[in-house]
Amino acid sequence: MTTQSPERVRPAPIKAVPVRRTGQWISAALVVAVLAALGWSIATNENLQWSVVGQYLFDSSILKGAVTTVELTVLSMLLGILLGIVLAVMRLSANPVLRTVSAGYLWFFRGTPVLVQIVLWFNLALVFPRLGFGSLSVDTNSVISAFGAALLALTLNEGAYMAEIVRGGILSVDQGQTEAAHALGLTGARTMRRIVLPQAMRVIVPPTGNEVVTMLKTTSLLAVIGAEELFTNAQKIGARDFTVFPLLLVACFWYLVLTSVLTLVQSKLERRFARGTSHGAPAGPGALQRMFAGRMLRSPEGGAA
Amino acid sequence: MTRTTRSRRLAWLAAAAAASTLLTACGGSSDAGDTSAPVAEQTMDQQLHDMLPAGIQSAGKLSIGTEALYPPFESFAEDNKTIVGLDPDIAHAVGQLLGVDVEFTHTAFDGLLTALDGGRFDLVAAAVTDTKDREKQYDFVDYFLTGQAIVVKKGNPEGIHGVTDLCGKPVAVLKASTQEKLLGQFNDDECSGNPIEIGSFQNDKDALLQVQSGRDVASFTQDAVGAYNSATIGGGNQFELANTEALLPTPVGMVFQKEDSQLRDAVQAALEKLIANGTYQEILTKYQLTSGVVDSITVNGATA
Repeated sequence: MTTQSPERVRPAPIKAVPVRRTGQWISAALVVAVLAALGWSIATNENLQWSVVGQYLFDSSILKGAVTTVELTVLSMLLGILLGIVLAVMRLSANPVLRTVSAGYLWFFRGTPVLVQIVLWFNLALVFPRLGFGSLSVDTNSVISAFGAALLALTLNEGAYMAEIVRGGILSVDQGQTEAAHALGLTGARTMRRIVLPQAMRVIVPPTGNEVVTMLKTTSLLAVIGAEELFTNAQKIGARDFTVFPLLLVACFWYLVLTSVLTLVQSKLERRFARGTSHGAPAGPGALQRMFAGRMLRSPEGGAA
Repeated sequence: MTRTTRSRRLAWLAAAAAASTLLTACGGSSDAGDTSAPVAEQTMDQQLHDMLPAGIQSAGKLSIGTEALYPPFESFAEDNKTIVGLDPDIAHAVGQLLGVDVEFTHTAFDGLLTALDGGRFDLVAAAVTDTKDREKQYDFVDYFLTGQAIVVKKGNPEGIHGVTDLCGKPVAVLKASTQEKLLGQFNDDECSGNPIEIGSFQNDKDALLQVQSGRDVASFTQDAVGAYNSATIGGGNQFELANTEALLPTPVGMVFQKEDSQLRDAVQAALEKLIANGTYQEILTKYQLTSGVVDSITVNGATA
């Protein structure tokens, strides 16, 4: 039927038929069908008590818990980054005492689970009933409230991780940059501030973004000391009304909202610090792709060259 | 006393006053019927106030640790901030008699006694079972009696009637609780050779959830709590008590550090007065927990 007829002089134009991707269609249909079935069974599942989810989604104590979660995340990240920079500089310093102290700190805080650290700091008063010297001391428990213990544990733990990220960033800047800066007469501190750190930021920002997202989720561990954050407050309602599962969904919803926002901010920041490089073109993975890409960062080639 | 500490104390007092207004404004949850009913106000008893340690007299506040995921003993009210239940009602009445404010703080059950050791709280009121083992480290002022309950799915599909029916089966329990320890003892005695698979959970409702989901055949908890949950959850159609007779009745008490005997005695005397003036019975009736009524308040009355 499709063969050329002999009467024609000119050969008929080739009837180019796209390659049939039957397999692709079948697999796509299967996946969509499975997803639809899953979605349907979740949406219509009475055990999930969607009405309860709706009832508490915007409950004031849930929202308040979400605010506390954000507060804890922001504060402990800011303090953790500062601490991390100090530790990284110590680690890279020529002074063996500073180097050793920094290494020891990392050894302890990276080597113990953050959940254990949270319980440890919460009960600090067992070891030191009062903090300070003589008449200048305060009751430990009044300083280390549940929120205080949470902030302390998360900050100290984060400092250790940020130290390694910052150190990696500083080391990623070619030694020649420092040498050139020195040759131009820049001081050590100035070289760090004007030459090394701006270039290091490109390496530091992406993993730091990951740390923020991880931190946001880590705050849920604070339920063990009742820090009034999102998960604790969801638990309270769940335990009172025996609506444990729907309240877990409520908590999941807000964690997802918050991490989504953070991911958007992260990709904006990354683009800013990637200016002036081949990675800096706006065609890197977009925020949406990033959101679903898990921990994978951009490919080495980065965007449309 | 420096100026800063004094002004901080004033701030505390103001905060405590604000908190107590809040408490009266929105005490009680709708869960257990008439639990929002106010308890008779107590007037301060100077004699009892004088029994308090000087530190608490001057602080004007009793700081109490609890785990408020455990109705009807303690849970969060609708505002998800106020802690309500049998223990808060009793403690507030005690506080009124002693002439001090009462402040409840929630934390995980397995961390409560450690936090008491660290001085975070003056005492713990969390339906803590008084046992001989715990008495080695703490003093108990016993104000309630409870047996243990085996809570199963409605209809008792596994046909469980007593401890021996649990042998070899998965059972959920609150982590660090006396019930968890009892299950371990059953495994040494009644169930030796065919041990219960003990699943320990962060709070009592998480344990109960395992019964609902079918992971565990039963949840082992305090009688009063099991009865309350069976009667209230899902309109009483989700769970039931499997054991027909009372199981290992033990006293429940407020927990004090050993060196705090002065505070312990003051609280005991205040509780005695609540029994004498009928408020204690009134509170138990309010929560339908009269099954656990005691005639007198004992110190360290553990039976096992």
